[in-house]
Parts: sequence; C-alpha cells; structure tokens
Amino acid sequence: MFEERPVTWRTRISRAITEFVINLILWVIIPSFLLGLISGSLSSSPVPITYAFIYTFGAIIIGLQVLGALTEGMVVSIPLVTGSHVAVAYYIYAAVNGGTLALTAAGMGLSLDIRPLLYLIMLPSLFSAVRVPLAYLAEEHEAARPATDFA
Amino acid sequence: MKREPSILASSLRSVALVITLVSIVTLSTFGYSAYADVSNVISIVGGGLPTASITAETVVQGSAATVYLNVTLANKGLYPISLSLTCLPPGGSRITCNSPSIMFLPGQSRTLHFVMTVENYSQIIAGNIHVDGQVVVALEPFASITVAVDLGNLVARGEG
Repeated sequence: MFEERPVTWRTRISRAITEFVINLILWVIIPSFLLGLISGSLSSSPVPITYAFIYTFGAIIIGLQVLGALTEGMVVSIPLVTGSHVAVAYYIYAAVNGGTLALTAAGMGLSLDIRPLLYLIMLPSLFSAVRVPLAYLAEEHEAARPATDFA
Repeated sequence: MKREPSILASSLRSVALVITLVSIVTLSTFGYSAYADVSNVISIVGGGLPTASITAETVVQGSAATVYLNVTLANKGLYPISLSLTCLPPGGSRITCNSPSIMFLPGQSRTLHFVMTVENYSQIIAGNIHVDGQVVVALEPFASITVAVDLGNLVARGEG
C-alpha cells in the first residue's frame, strides 16, 4: 500500500508547484478573502490577524512546503516539512486568538469559545510535525539493520 | 531497487490519514449543525416557526412584578445543544431569578423557563436598575457562545 517510489527531480518540481498552488489558496487567498468580509461587515473585528500576518505566515508556510517538496528524499527535507507543519498549527491558533473571540455588537457583549474545535483542527498538523521525523528515523533504523539472510 | 517502508512509518502514515479524515468529518458535521441551528434561531427572530418561539409575560402585583420568559427551540443539528440563562442582580435590589439550563439532543424540542421576580418594578421600567444576564449557548462539545445582556433594559423595552 505504501510502497516507496524513487524520487526524481521531475517529481520534486511537480510536487513543489502543487504545494505552492494549494498552500497559496489555503493560507493566503482564502484567509485574505475572509478577513476582507469580516472587516467589511463588522466595525470591530473579533479576529486579531492582519493582512501583514497572513502574507508573512503564508510566505513562511509556502516557502517551507515548497523547499520540503524540492528536497524530498533528502535529510534536509525533514526539518523543512516539520517546520511547515508547526507554522500551520501556529497560524491556525493565532488566527482565532487561541479559540476565544470577543465582540461587542448592538450594546451586547458576545464571546465565542471554540477551543475544542481549534485543537481538533490543529491536530493533523501537529501530528504530522511529529510523524515526519519519526518516520525518517524508523526508515533509517530499518536501512541500517542487517538483513536476516546474511546475519 | 524499491525499498518497503518500515511498519512504524506505515502505521504513522495510517494514523495521520485517520486523524485527517476524522477532523474533516467532524468539521463538516459541525458546520452543518451550526448552520441548521443558527438558521433555526434566526427564524424565531424573523417571524417564528411552529417549533421555535420566544414568549414573555409580566404579571404585576402592586409594586412587585414577575417576569416569565419561555424559549422553545428545536435542535435541527447533529450535535447536542445546551442553553442556559443566568442573571446577576445588583446587591440590595430585591430581585430574584432562577438560572435555568437545558440540554437539547438532536431532533429534540424543549422549552427553557426563566422567571424573574422584581420587588421595585417601577425602578426597572424607569431604567434605573440594570440586571446583568448571561445567555450561554453551546454546541456540545465543540463551541459555545456567551451573550451578555441587560435583563432590566430588556424588560423596560418590552414594557415600552
């Protein structure tokens, strides 16, 4: 099911382009659109992020993912991919102020608590940040172990 | 030469896949539930449904009054909803109220009964007494919204 295929430069470049497009949509275009909607409809935005935050973190995530894809199969890709997953988790956490949002509208104070949902959204990224180096170490351990036929 | 990944690497990849799938399914169902429930609440404000309504009644006896508020709501989503209303009357105001809290299971319709007894009703109507209230609506177990309202102001506006 998970058979390893040899990684060619063609595969790396096509994967890097795919990562660039997907991450650009996910972490820059969609958040910018949503921030524009929120800023336009509410006088005081409950979301603490700015366009500068979106572009900065978008660039960091895209850069790490693209470099990770370009160096796939090399040791250097491990910290790059792990770093991108940590950056994604922090981006999500910071974008919703840690899951607690406060808003005042029509003389009423509204407070939204979405912490359990936030942790669930962050879980795949955080797990991937742990999985990538662990999987690499397991692969290296497996490769270093002598085959039983020759022992 | 092709090399098979280790069992640990394959297992980690499988777990990551399962976690991602569970997150996507949970987010989708949460989104659907939130949309269904918010539409239901908006429909109460915008005209009412046979399954959802808010009724308020004030019984005045001399200078005292009792305010009854009944909120009937149907859970049209996929997750349970908990609804609670608490009031924090100012010290020495001789205002008492219950703090009802109910849980709606999916598909269930229930009514929240809130009762507030006011000794000096004319002061409330004049807008001199502010009664802090807190409405907590939670889409269990993922999200909750807390709305801070001035119950005294609401009663005064209802009378006006």
